[in-house]
Amino acid sequence: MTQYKQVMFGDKINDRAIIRIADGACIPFEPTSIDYQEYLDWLAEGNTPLPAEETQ
Amino acid sequence: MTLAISGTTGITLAGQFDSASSFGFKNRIINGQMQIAQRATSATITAGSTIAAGYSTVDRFYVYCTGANVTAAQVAGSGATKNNLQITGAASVTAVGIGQRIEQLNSYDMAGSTATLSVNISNSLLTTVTWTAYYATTADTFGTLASPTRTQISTGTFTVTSTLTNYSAQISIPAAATTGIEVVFTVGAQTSGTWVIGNVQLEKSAIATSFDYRSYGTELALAQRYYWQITTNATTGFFFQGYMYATTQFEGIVRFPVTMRSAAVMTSSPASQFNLRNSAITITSLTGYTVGQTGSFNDILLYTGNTATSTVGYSQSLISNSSTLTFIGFSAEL
Repeated sequence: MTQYKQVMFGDKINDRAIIRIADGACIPFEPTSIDYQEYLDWLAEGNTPLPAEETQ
Repeated sequence: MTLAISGTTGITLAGQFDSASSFGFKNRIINGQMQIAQRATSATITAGSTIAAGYSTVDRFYVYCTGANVTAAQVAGSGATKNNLQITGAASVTAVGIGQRIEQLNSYDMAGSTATLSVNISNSLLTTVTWTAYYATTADTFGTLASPTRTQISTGTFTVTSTLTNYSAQISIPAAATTGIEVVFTVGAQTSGTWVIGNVQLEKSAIATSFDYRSYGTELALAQRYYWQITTNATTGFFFQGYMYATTQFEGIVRFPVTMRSAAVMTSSPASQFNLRNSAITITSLTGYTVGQTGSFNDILLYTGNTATSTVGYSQSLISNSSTLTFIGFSAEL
C-alpha cells in the first residue's frame, strides 16, 4: 500500500510538500496536481504520514 | 459560411472555416502523435494503480487497467504515422483506459462550441472502444480514479477492427466546460492481443480535419510543461551546480526548459546513484538524499543531505556515479 512521510527542510518540517515512499517523489501541496489529489484520497481513508527523518 | 470579395477590403470569411491545413493550436491534445516518450518507451501498468502512476510511457497520456497488469509501449507506426501507443493485454484483465487531461488554459475557448475527436485505433481482440469526454469540476482538478471530480460531457463507441483506422465523433462542449477537458478511451476485457491508438486529436470544429502535425521541438516543449527530466548514463554525468548550504547539506537550483504548469512533483533515481564533486575534483557520495523543496514554476530548489563534510559555501556539482541510467524528473501532470 502506498505510504507517505513528512520531509524536513533544514531543521523544520516542510509544510509545503510530502514524500511518497514508494518512489521517493516529493509532492508539493498543489491542488491541481494528480499526485497531491491521490495523497488527499489517502488521507481521507484515515491514514497519516510517517514522521520525517532527520537529515544526515 | 459567406465569402466576400472586395476590391477595397480584400477577402472576408464569415463563420467557421475548415481546412485540411492546420491553423495555430488546432489539436488540443498534446503528443497525440505519440512521438514524445521522455519517461520510457515501455512500461508495465499495474492493475488498480493510480492515474499518477499511469503517466509512465508516452508523454501526457495516462494508462490504467483493472484485473491484471498490461504493458503500454510506444511502437512504430506505418506510412505517415511514425509512432503509436500500444497496450498489450493479459489474462484476467477486465478494463483498460487511456486518457489525457487538457488544462483550462488550452481548452477554455472550446466551451459552448462543437468539437471533434478523431483517433486512429486498432484492436486485435476487441471490437468496441468507448470514448468519453469530461470537464473538471474546478479548474484543472479532475480528481482521481477512486474519487473523480469531473462532469461527463458526452460518450460514445467506435466499432473497431484489427486494422488501424481513423474514427471521429462530434462533441457539444457545454458553456460550463471552461475548467479543462479530459478525454478517455476505454476497452473491456483485453485478455490478450493488442490495442493500438494514435493520432489523437481534439479540435474546435464541427467536422474532422486532417491531423495537426506539429514540429517535434514544438511538441516536446508543449509536453515539457507537464513533465521534464534530466538523465545521464555517464559515470560522471553532470546534473547541476550547487553549493554547501551547511557542512553536510548541499543545495542547488534547476532551471526548467519551459515554464511548468504548476509546482512540480520531483522524482529521482536512488541517492546511491549520485555523487557530489567539488572544485578540487574531490568526489563524495550522496548517501542521504533528502529531497527538494518546491520552487516556482520556472525552477526547483533541490535540497539534499550528504554524510561527507564540506565547507559551507563551497561549490559542488551533482553528478552520477555509475553508467546506470540516472535521472531527476519533474512532473506537473493534472
